[in-house]
Amino acid sequence: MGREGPVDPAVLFIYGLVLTLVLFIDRDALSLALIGAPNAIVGFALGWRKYKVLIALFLIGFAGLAINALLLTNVGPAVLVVGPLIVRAGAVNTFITIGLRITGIAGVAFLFVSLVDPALAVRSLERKLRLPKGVCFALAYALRLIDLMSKDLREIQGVRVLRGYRSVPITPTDIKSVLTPLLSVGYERALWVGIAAELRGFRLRKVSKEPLRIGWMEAIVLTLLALQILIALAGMLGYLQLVVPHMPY
Amino acid sequence: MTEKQGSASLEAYIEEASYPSKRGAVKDSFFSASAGELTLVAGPSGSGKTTLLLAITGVLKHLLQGDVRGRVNLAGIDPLTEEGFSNVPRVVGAVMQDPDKQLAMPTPYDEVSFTLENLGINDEGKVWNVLREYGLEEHAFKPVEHLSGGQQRRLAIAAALAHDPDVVVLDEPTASLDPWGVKSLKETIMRLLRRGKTVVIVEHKVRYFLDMTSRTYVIKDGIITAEYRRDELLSSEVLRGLLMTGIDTLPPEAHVRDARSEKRGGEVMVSLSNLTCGYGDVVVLEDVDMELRAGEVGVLVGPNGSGKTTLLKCIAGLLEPVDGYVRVMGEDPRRAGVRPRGRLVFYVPQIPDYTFVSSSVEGELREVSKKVGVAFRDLVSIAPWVKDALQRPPYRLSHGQRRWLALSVGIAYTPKALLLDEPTTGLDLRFMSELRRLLTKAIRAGAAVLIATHDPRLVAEVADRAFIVDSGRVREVSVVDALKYLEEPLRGS
Repeated sequence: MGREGPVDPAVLFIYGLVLTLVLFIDRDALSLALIGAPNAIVGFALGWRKYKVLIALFLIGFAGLAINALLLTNVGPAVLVVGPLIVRAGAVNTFITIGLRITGIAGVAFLFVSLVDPALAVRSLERKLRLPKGVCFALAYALRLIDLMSKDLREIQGVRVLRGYRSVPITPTDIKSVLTPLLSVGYERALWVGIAAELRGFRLRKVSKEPLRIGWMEAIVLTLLALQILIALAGMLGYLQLVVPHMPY
Repeated sequence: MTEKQGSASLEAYIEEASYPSKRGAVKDSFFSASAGELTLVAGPSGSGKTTLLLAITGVLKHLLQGDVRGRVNLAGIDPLTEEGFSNVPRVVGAVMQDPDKQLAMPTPYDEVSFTLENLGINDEGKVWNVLREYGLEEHAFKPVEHLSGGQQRRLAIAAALAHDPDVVVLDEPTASLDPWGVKSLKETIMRLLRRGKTVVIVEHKVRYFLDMTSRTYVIKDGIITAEYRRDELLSSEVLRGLLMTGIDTLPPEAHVRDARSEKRGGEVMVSLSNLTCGYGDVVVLEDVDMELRAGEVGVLVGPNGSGKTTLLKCIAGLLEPVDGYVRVMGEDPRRAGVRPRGRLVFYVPQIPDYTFVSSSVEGELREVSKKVGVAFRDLVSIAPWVKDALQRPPYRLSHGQRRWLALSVGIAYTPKALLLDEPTTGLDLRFMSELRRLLTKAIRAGAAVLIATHDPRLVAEVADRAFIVDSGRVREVSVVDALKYLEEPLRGS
């Protein structure tokens, strides 16, 4: 019923889920870069129009990552000395590895939420992947909630400016004061949507099964996925190395 | 009316209905509703109307971990049993208070087909029929966020009734609806009654349904205290009695102040000149000229989606004008030197939760105290309930209390222009008098107040000046004409 998306949401779901797992497991910086960077570029580009604030918040989070890396893994040979601060190889390595990992995962997430229509996702996931209907509905509503929360965030930011607070949160107190109303409104929405769905017969919903059809677009997505799994395996098994050409002086 | 009329299709005796955090929210109440009849449950805010509805549909017991003791017969099923509750959707179509918070799908088409698919009806034609019936056909694939409040309300009703249930339950269906929306809602209800449906409405604005209701129950402090037949409700003594409890039974003319003060002499606080505002390339309002002086209360009336909120946001500096200018006390709010900006202009949004920055009422008031230099104890003393609610999160207060707290925060900033977006949505007459008190405080502090509203009571009681916002334009009219504008559609229904 209705309209179709460019790629079957079930295939995009498989792509997103498998790639997220791969990025979690992979510890090789080079393969993380090869997988994470293209997904991040495509995902952030697709999501930029609708999710600028979330992307900005994500980038602000890198400051926290750098501080954590310096506090917890600043060991090994010194790489950079800035006044009293000595940055060591361990911190740099942690920052790069975790940074690439979370950038890749965020890129995959933005790719998924930008390309998938929540209503189509519910049908596709429950009918073709046979996922439990509760999981599919929760996932589809979470996709819709992202848009709603973006709208809520804009409203909250507006009133914050009037009240004399920073519009974009920077400190932990700022973040808490933005997240509290945002999550509170989101929770209330989720609660009443759940009640409305039950009153509209969600527990009676019978799911008819459909085969997963692979068209050209789906085939391309699955091939890209297989390629990225191979890159991750090569990286983890040590078959992937960056060759820096020796430059004659 | 059909032959089904008169037979009780809903009967409930609630001995006690409790939330996990509140015992006895409804108790010792008997209630019945018949096929082909409209039954009203009227009561002031916080009287237990919604709880009664949640109890009789089984939601309180099965989804909100509440406890319901008593017996319920809902078109032959008992929703208090697990099996009965599973079958409730087959016979009941229920629409809760806030449509924005119960639409699960991204477009009207998906929303309606979701209900039908749940009940095993995979019929695309039926989806289109339902959308057509509720005037949503052209908006079938429009994102739900882009629908007006009235369209969202219609969609919530369409989605809940898509499968043609025998019993229809509506919680505060007129909240945030414009008069045309109320008219359309009444027409929908009439259609349902003609088809022999049992319609139950929980509402404090009883006057909208006086001409349709067969039976009205009055609930107060969680107990149904009275039952009136239609002919009894026509008695002015009964209507006055209901009014005393906070239930709105009188036409808005009854609320018009005897002496409407002339305040035009004050300093100009808000000045708009050739203002055009909108979102991106979409122009919502064009060439708006307006002046509002200190101590004046202006109201913006107009259909849902006509641009009232856009105008308020533009004045608050939250939206950049496409053309023309906004001045508050001679300053452009977006570039004002006044800090915080709320000292110059404060906008209280329709959803009060957006205003809060702290996770407790005490924290909220301390933040206000810190920002604007008002003593904390003075802020606590603004309402009797505040002292007992200091440790509670503002988000867990009642609807009325939240709205009241957000407004108090705004007033504490002593802005030169106070902008309120639908401040009376879901509030009964008692809260209305509280609102009046707060507005008087803001006016005494020298503010100009501009309110976007559909509420004729509010227009009648507080407005000094009125503006109709419609078809991308704003024009000033007399307060009486604004009232006529709001009441006219209802007279024809």
